[in-house]
Amino acid sequence: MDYVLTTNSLNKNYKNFQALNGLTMHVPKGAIYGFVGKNGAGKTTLIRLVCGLQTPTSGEYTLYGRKNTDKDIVKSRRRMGAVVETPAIYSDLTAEDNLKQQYLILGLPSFDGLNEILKLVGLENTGKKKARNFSLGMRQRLGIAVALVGDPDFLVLDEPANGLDPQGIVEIRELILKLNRKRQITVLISSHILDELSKLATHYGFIDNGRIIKEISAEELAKTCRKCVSVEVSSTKVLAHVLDNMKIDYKILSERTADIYAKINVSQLTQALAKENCEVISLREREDSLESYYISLVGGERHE
Amino acid sequence: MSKLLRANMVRLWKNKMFWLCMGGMLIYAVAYMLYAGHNSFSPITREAYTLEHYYFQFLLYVGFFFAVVTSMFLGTEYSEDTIRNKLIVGHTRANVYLANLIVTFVAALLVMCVWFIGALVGVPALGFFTLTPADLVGYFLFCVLLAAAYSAVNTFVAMLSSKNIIAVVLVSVAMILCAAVLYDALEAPEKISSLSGVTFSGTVPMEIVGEEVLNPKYTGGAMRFVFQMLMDVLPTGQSVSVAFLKIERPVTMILSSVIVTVGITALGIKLFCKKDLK
Repeated sequence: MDYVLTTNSLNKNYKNFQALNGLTMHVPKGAIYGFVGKNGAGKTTLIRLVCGLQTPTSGEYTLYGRKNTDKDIVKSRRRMGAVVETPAIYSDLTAEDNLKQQYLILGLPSFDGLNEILKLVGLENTGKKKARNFSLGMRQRLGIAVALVGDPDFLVLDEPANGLDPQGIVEIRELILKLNRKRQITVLISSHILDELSKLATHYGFIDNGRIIKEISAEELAKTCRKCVSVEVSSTKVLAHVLDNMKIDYKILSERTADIYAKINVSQLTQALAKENCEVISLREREDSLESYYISLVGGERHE
Repeated sequence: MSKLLRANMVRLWKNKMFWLCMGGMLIYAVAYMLYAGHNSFSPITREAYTLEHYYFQFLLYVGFFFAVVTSMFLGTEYSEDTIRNKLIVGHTRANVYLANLIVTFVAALLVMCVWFIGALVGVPALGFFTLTPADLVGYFLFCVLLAAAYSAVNTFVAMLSSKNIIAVVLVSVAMILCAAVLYDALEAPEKISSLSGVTFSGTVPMEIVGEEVLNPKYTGGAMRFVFQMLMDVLPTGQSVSVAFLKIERPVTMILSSVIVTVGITALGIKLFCKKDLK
């Protein structure tokens, strides 16, 4: 699989505080990688390192195959855009002038495509309004527009929905999906609004205390979190035999526990198990959301 | 770096504070020289001051103008985090620093040019320069070197301090005060008259001079040497020397400006490259 960004045992220390602790992650090309973690987990620190704003204490990362210590890393950086924490815009300039500044910084020969970018983010009618008079949502969208100058292949967004109203959140989400599907832009998006991420991400990386505790694709996550009946029995060997006869999908978790992925007739199942001298100790329905999955992860219970 | 320079110059051109400073400098130049033209004859020394006595006086305060322009221009790079946009797309820290330094220097030169042009309103009252062309070119060269030194110091503070808008202005004010104190100390005469003043015989002023005694405020010996070196090294100290047309050690001053500019810039780039940015 092609990876746009990989990190290998990244560490970052600030005086007495260790922000990143051996962080290893992989962002596949074409993915919308949802970077999930609580406040202070290290999300923004990782993004600052990847964007070249800070240097790692130890460890390394590669961006489009180039290591962070290579002089050629600047060529890889040329292919990325980022909004780190707050949007970086000149408040005394208009939306158009802000984009023109970025065009000049990139050394682009003309301002072709500027109006398209403004239209893409919904700021085509701001005219001579200075950025200082924009709403938070507009500033957020202008920050994304600046990041889109130069047609980047890789977009890094650090909590882009922060401070936005519900409509603003929907607009940002639609924009990110459009960029990924129509322009094949790989997106690394950090957030702690899990509900929003679940509508966007194709891959997830869960971070806690400065390290990745789990990387998983959305597909695998959906399988793990699908609705099921958790049973505790005296022998899962017998349970497996009975379920195989019933042609029911299941997953054995241990000698006594299993998950059954079907709507079962409880009476039939307990009778079938009783015939084989297998006791049913407990039965419960459950469906994991991204939230419960995340909480179970950081709580220590592992989903293998 | 040319991309960064072009982007910075376009932004400078659109910066309202820069144009306010240019306008303020023009008004100051015209007002000052018109006032100077009106008061250029000293009844005590019976001497008429010429254009050059006032033409370079702006250097006494120009450091403050430079600090305001620099802090407003470079300050936004941190306060609005726009410095990130340059680093994220691959520009090196050294290039970002140098591009900011060069634009600061260009802004300083432009502010100076406004003074030089506006101050020519004093020509009708004060006459043209009486300095030789070589001396005049020399003074202009000192002004350019001073602009470079001020720019180096201001850029250093602005790029490394998180509270750069205030820090640049404070450093500038501190340098001006330092130069004023050094100048006072160095200008104090070795001996003073126990009795001095001016009286008038009719309308004719007459100087009264009494017995000469040692001046307790006179700075001598090693301390004087140190003070002179500081005056030659500090951009504000050199500003005083040039403003009062008292350049006694031109080679030292030129070397100092170059060393300050290059040295502070090299140190600034090194520290900026190591700085963790948010």
